[in-house]
Amino acid sequence: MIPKFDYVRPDSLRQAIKQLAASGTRIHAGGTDLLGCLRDRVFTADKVVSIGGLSELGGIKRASDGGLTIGALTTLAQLASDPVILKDYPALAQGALSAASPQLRNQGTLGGNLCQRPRCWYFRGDFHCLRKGGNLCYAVGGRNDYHCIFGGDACYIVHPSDTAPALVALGARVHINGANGSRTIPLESFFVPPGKDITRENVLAPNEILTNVSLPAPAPNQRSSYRKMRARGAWDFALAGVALSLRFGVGGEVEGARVVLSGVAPMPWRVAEAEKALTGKRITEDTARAAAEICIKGAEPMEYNGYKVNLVRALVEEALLALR
Amino acid sequence: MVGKHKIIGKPERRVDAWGKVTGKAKYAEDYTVGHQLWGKVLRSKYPHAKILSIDTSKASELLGVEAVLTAREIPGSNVFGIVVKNQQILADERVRFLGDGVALVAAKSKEIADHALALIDVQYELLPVVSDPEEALRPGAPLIHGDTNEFVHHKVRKGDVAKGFAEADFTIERKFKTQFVEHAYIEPEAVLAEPAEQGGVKITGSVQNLFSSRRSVAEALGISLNRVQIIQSTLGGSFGGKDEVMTSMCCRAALLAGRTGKPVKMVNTREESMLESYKRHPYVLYYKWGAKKDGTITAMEIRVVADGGAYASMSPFVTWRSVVQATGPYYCENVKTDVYAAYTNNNYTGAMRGFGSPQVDFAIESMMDELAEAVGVTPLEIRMKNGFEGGAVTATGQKLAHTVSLKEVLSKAAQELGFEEKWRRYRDAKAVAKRRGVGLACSYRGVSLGAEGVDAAQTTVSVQTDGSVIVSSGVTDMGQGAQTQMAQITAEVLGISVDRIQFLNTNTSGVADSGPTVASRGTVMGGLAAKNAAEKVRATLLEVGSELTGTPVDALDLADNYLVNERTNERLASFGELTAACFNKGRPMIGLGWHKAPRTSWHEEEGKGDAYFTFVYGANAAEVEVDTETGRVNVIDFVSVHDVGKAINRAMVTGQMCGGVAMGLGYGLLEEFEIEAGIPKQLNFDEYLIPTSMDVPRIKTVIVENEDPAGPFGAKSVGEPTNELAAPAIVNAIYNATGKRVYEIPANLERVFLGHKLTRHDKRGSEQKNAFDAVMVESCKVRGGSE
Amino acid sequence: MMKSIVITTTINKRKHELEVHPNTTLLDLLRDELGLTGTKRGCEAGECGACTILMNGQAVNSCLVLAPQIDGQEILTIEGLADGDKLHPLQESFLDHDAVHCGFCTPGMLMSAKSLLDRNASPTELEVRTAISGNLCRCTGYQQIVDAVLETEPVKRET
Repeated sequence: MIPKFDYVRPDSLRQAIKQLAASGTRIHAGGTDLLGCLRDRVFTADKVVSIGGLSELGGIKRASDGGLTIGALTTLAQLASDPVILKDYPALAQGALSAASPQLRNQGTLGGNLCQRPRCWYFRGDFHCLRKGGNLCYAVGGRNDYHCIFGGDACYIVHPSDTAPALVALGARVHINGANGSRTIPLESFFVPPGKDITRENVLAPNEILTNVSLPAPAPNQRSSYRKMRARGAWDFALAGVALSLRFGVGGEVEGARVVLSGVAPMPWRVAEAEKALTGKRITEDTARAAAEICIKGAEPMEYNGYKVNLVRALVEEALLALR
Repeated sequence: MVGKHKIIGKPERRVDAWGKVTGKAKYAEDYTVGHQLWGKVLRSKYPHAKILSIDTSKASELLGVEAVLTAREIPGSNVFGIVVKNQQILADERVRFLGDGVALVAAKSKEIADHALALIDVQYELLPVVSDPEEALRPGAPLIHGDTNEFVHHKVRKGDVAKGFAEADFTIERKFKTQFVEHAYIEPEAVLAEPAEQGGVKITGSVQNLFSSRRSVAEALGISLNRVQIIQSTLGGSFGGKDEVMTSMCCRAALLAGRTGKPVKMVNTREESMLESYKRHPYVLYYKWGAKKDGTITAMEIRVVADGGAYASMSPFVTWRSVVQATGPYYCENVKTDVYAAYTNNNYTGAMRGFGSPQVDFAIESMMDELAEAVGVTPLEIRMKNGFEGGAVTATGQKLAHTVSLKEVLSKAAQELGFEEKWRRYRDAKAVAKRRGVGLACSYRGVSLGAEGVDAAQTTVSVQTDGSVIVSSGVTDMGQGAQTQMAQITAEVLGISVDRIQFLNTNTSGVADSGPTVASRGTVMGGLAAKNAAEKVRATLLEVGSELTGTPVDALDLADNYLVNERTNERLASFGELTAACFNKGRPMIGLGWHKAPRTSWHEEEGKGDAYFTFVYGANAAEVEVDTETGRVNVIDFVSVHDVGKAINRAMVTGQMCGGVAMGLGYGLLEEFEIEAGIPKQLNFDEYLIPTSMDVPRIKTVIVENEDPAGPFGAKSVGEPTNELAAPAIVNAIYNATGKRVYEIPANLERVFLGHKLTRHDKRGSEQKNAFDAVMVESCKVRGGSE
Repeated sequence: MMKSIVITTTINKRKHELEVHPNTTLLDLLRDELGLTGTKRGCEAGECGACTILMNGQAVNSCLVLAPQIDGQEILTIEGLADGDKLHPLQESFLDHDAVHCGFCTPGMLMSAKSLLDRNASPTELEVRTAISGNLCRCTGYQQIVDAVLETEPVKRET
């Protein structure tokens, strides 16, 4: 049973933001994560603000600079099948397609995918953990099979999104509207590490809405991909994943690289050192292996998640070689 | 009957499928009546604790609440259990696992019932938790029931193992482990209990074994069996899983209905279902084999410890099948097998498809491959050398009198996959990152309950004056197709088309107690009872036909919905005319079929006996691709071969084979219901992962038919054997690919990558660990109970 | 106090005006309020697919749709798949291929399969497997379901 709440359906973004002023308010778009969280009492809602009908938040548009603006209400299914995204930003299409199930991809939105809450079983269960205001992370001494090996700090969640790492690799920016105006920030700085604030995963204030995501125009020789490893063949969160965006020079050497890991850290995990190591080099078995080794440097596996180290190394190497 | 079968062996449409494709089939939760109340269970807060007090006063006062019950308010018996009566409908003094019920609420809506549960105040005193079966058997372990946690010790003794090991050129000694497995029927448990006349109750629900549930309801209410009517709704899967968990739900709903005088509906959420329901047993298996250089096995010494969880459930029967089959279908003169079951504070464990065989088959078939390697022959060769042939004497001393088709199924599986050639090629292949491998596994399996249970069943066939037919049986359908196979048998005997048959859902007041539909007994027991019933009706109809037409009975036949003169092929009367005549002559329109299984025997102390009246044989062959850098295993080809005696319906047999392999693949690679300090970790399908359509490869199925006189038209069983071989076949294939053997399933990423679980050194001292466990326990307000 | 909301919607080609509590899921609305119990409740978390229905032709988990969300939308459930007594070709094919065992996943499977065939009349096996990858089945191992979808006669396929 989902506990009771009031439900409002504002007809403009401005109205929606106004509605968010009251405390205990939650945003409803696709609803795939919201309903689960409400049902399982991960959090509560006195009022739910539906933004599903706001046309301002939909659509995939070419921007004047040749980039792309993607409305927050764009479903994962639309991302996975959009011809422009498939052609210019394959990492994003692959990320969207690798998430969840066909039904959930028809329902879930890009905004929701970026803002979803972590899947840690203690957080989702009835454990009063640190992230929920308690004083203990149960994963530290418990079953941490699916927890992070990078960036953990008192809390050891992983960020569950498959589109976020792809978008970070592609240099996406997010647009946020709120009562105090709007702002645009790199997606990379949208996420909040546990060391900074353990109770939330992103910078959105309670009265703000993520409205759209924009991508820069693709460079002529840019290639991107997203690859993830999961326990079963479909419908499963990433045990580990890697999003790559590589810009190649005329001689086939890497001119610019972004390497972003998923499933291993509380936020999309960019590995600047690996990016640097790849720059100026051609992708060979040696450079790929070297970059993969850099990616696992400093990993801090816990009792049950050491396997993720192998996954990252193998995935990065494989993904790099596939983009040659 | 003369000539070929007209219905048997044909891929007839299922008799119950039309309702299922249109959404009209009624499952338990689909039943609703006016003024029904919602029943809810308050479950335990801790895996092991003393109940100090239960205060229900606030909950009782809540508007819309019509009853709040605790163990004290149960008029009859609070305990139930098929073998050992030690499970409670509601815990009175002590909770023994997290799924135990403590109090019940009936209210006008689900919301009110949920709210009322939150108002019940239970005070507990925590008791130490034991979550590991081997720990539970050590002296000083927390006791769950009585003065020992060991509640089963089955043995098999043959020859002299000391002598056998002395004769051996070498020994192989290995330890294997298997996991808790959730049945994962997609339909969660549900019942509707309605008060009936004279203090009775009528229950409609997703119950697998109606008669044992009925017994417990009658005892709980303190009324006679005939006042309790349980009707099986269309079952959304069971796989052995809707037995005791449904017994307690039936009892609870009946108690609430009795107390309030109103219909009470109870439906488990998925979380409640996974929290409370029993699982497949995890086993720890110690195998020691002695063998000669030529591969002859001289001794097998086997010790198995099963985690029984908090209650006995079917453990004594499940582990008995394990002890009987623990050596596999292989010759060995000297055998010593001991199987123990221990109580713990985990979910209790009971019947699940396979019923004690998947665990031992994983160990046996892994051992067989190790033996092949030690001897220097292929996995197929070692099995052909040691495998049973006709007249073989099993480890329990039983001489196999039926057609022993082990080698036939083995060769077919190997041939279909190209096993021998691939096995050699993959073994000798270069060590690249992605490697292929093939694996083989085979088994023999006793049909039906065997020597530990009373084994008889009823099926009734009644003909109507218009030529339509009603069949009902005490053997139940949970999706495996029991109704369809009994309908086909009836149609074959009566010479009618299957569409004339209406199958009634099983109703305890309509058929005699036919025992549980478990242990691969559906086809043989229900089918032979159906055949018996239909033959009685047929005999009457032929007599009537003879009187009607003046043709002697032995010249008459029933075929294609007509009474025919067998000699002239002349159609003498339609089946409807014949049944109408039967009615007009006042002759019986009904045949009551009964089948009692042939004699079996067991000497528990000597560990010997003729365990089962017949056996089935199967072999699986798997081909996998292993990514050695990640441990990821893809099953890319699979062959399943089973001797089913006779396929009553080829499409259904194929379906059982594919479904069994898929579940076995989950068992081998994916599924593990983890319990940490008595607290389950996965309560829904986002965490407990079962195979999707993307995980299961296209399966090649080969049906072998060696008709067995012990079954109807020679048919035996198929549901369970199909589920026991995929895991060992896959694990053997992983070895062929990587040279690393997995001794603990599921063979997940880290086990395949390293051959063991990759764990960092545990820095926590025991003191810290205990502190953690206490915190875990303190915080385990489980979702299902508080909703 | 929670306010109820009035919505208009089309379910199985019939128009409805309904007053709903906002915390009601579409699954509950269909089953408990409208008596359309063919849509099955398996997990209430979008993790089994038994409650799959079509919303504007798209397969969605009705347990994760709030009742107010269907305002102005078109819903198709298993009860609306057949044309009166005439089964949809997919239903016939499921019967012919023994793709129905316990049947609990069947309504959801059929809806996912329909949404696939509506956009792709002759899918490959991989496309079929992908389309039903959000529907768990514990009985069949999926093979007969995949075959049933693949062998649904294209000429008879209707939208």
